[in-house]
Amino acid sequence: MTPRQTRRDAWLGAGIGLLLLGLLWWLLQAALDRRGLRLDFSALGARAGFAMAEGLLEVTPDSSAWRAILAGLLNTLRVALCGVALALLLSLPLALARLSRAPLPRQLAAWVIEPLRNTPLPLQLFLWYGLLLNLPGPRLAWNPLPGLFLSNRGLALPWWEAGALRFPALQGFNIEGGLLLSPEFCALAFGLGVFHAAYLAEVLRAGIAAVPPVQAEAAAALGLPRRISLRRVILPQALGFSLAPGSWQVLQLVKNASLGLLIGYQDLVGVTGIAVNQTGRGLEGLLLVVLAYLALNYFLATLLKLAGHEGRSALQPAMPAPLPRDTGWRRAVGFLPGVLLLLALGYWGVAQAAFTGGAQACAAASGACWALLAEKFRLILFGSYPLAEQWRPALATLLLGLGLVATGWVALRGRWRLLLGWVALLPLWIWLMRGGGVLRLVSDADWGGLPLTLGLAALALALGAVAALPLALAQRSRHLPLRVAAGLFIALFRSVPVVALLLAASLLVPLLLPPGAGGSRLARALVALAGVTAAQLAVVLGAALQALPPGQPEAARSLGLSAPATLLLIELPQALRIGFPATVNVFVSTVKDTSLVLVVGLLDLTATLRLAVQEPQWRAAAPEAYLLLAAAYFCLCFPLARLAEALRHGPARPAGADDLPRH
Amino acid sequence: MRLPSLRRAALALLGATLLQAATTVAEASPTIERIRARGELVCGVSQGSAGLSLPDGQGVWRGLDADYCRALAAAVLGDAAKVRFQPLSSAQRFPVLQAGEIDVLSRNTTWTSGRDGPLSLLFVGTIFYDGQAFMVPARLGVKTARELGGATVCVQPGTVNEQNLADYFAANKLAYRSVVIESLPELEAAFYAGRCDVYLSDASTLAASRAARAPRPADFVILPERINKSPLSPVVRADDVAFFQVARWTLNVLVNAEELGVSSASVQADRASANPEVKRLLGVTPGIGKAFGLNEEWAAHVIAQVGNYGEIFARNLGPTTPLALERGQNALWRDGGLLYAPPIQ
Repeated sequence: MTPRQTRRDAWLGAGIGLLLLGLLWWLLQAALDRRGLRLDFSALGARAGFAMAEGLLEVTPDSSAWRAILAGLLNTLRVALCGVALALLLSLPLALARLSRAPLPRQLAAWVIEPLRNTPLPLQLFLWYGLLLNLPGPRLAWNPLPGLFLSNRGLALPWWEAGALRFPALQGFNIEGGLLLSPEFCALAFGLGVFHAAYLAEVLRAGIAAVPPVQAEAAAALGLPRRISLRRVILPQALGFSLAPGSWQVLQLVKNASLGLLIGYQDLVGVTGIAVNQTGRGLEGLLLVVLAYLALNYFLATLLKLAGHEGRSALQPAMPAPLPRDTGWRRAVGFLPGVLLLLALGYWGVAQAAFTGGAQACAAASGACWALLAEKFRLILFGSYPLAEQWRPALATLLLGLGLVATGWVALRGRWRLLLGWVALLPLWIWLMRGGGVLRLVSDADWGGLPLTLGLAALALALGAVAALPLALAQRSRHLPLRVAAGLFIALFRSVPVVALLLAASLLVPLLLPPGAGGSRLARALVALAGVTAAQLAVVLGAALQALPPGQPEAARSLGLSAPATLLLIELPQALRIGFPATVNVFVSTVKDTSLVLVVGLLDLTATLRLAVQEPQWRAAAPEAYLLLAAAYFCLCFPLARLAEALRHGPARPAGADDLPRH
Repeated sequence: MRLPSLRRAALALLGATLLQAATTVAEASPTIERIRARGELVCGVSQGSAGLSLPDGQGVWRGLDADYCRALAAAVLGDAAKVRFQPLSSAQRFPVLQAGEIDVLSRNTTWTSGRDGPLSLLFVGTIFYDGQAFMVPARLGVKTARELGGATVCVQPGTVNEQNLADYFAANKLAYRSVVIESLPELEAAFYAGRCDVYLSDASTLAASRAARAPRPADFVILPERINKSPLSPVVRADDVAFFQVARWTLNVLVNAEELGVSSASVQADRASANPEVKRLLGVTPGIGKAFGLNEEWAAHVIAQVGNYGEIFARNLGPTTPLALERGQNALWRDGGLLYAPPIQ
């Protein structure tokens, strides 16, 4: 294609995209008209009615709501910037430690990276925030460096004020002067930083491993010391390989900043939520958030494109080397961090814990409060599923669990019979949960707990995988409108935070469709999750198709195969193999995303655990509930991640690492 | 013979006219038709608010708001168990009601002019009177909220809390900083860890939190000021006035039953009561059914299956519960509270 054609296509594409957005807007207006409602953004011009504690832009109760929302956007960017800086700073040492020949640093890095990657980000944020709050007060602030104070009121730093650097100092009850960052900001920036550092470290590790070994050998032959060779030869090339997947991480981090809402950081989503709640205009706020993130993502993507790193961000043309294995005492040393952690957990979680006796026993015990489980295990496991029928979700969960284990077992051997198993298993799961025939009908509004989490994950993956293929093909279509529509869909589902997508599916679908036709809330949440999965898988698949040597389809054509046959018999099987590890990573992120459905009022495991600690006498047991939840997600995600790792070195064709985390 | 039969005929005619009048008064309600066709009431509740709507250890929804929905189901369907509870976030609650996905929203929602007017919704009536207050550590030595200048305040978002906070501090010309956290366990952890000087919430929430969560309850004081009125009310759509009236009078029946001394235990015996208002309430003297297009026993079903307001309060919020709330403003008007239901007449 000539540059001129490309330019023409770009303009045409933008036009069609705008037209599609306009059509959606018109549909929404018409649907609202039918109900006697209308969109009204004028309420946002009115007085905000609340003040914001921190931010670059001062917001008083008398400022307009628009100003508050703008301040929220700036807060999002500010925390994202700090998070990115921290992630970049931490990722290189982590990656090098992970590749180290010494067992202790390598195992330590693994113990840091794996829990970070395989548990939902909201839980990690709760942990960091809880730790910060338990620091001493300002008068006893931790003062590691001159001018640096860390207390439960936040982090005080020296800052440029009125032309001079001003150092914070303790005055009376508070720390005055300099720059004070709130604990909410610190916890969020740190949480985002370390979470994405774990992913970036893996990206970097893959990048380093992708540098051909001859490079290191040549450097050694020239007599360069290992350190110089790393700095001058290996790392520059590794960074080149890592730029595309690394920049994808940056976009993800900006999106994840919206979770600040959970720990009291007033970002764009949080502020918009407050502003619309004063007026009850939820729909307008939601549309604003979606548009803002689309614009933000477009802006960042354009920036990265200008910097010259566009292209195959979903796949990386590299195969990370398998991690070195240890024997003998080196292996024993590697276990050390794990053993220490287990001892500490055992002391707190077993020796000092209260297992029965209700909330009073917990208040008396110094360790963990497992009496919570004794009292509320039914609520936690099954939500509000009818008591007499709870054997059904238990059985359904067991079946799904067995299915997952079998998948891990069989996938390593690359058998496609697996697919048939899932085609049979999922309807069986739905029948057990929903009833019909000999079983009593149970509305999906009553499903909850562990079966809901597992079922949502499995169904979202299945639907997402089915939808990804047409989406990927549409993106490669010769027809511009089809390409634009697919591109729009992918952009929407990849750049808007999952929380906002879930809300949009829950609020907009019933408005757009006639009453009764909107499906249940579970179905709508499923559509949103499947959409996110489909968009990500489509990108992976598209990149994998792109990565095929062009000789393959050409050879197929010259043998006389039709275009569909070429696609089905030659291109797809290879692309699926190349993209498989990246696909598993998308699956991990989908599993973690199910922890967000509580924003639309579904009682998944996250929601039931939160409900279990909602009564005043149980609220102090929240850390135990979160720990359980983290453990549950880890048990689901870690084997999946290991599967991806195993597949990279397994029978499949060497393929790239990709890491698409979201919480 | 002639006279009685004439009289009978006249009575029949009168009855028919009255019946017709009654049916024209009680317009058909599309919402009630949908509820009957579905066989259950769909009720929007909170995502967990102790004493108002929260599933117990078995997953059964408990609380004042949940019981109001049971009462409404008993009124419309004759069976308090035919309710499907849908937990909703605060961002979801109004759009979901507007879209017709739920029949009634019973989710600790404060009744304000900004919500009643422009959103095509109707507030049923106050089911719980609350008001926001400040809790502070006793060691700060603060006696009144006017001494809170410069304080850091922990508050939950998505409610009217923040606006009240800003209004109160602005009116008293005081500065403040807020820490806004959505989840209650996190918010309380922040306050008790000393992140904030002040915890702003409904007085009932503060009292319950202090009793259960504070290491030593005496270390914290709830300041005497109530900075606003928080009347909590169920909400329905404005396009179905007949259903709105049923919802409103279900609430009135709960309060009137307590006032008349009719409880779930006594409702059978009270059918023989000589009190004309009790007779009208329980449908012994017909009228209450026709007025709302329901059967005559609907109020009796409500009381028998769910209890009167006093029973519901005691079960969910009263001194024997972990929340241990006094009736206070939520006592009947004759006991010095604010509950005052129009008569059944």
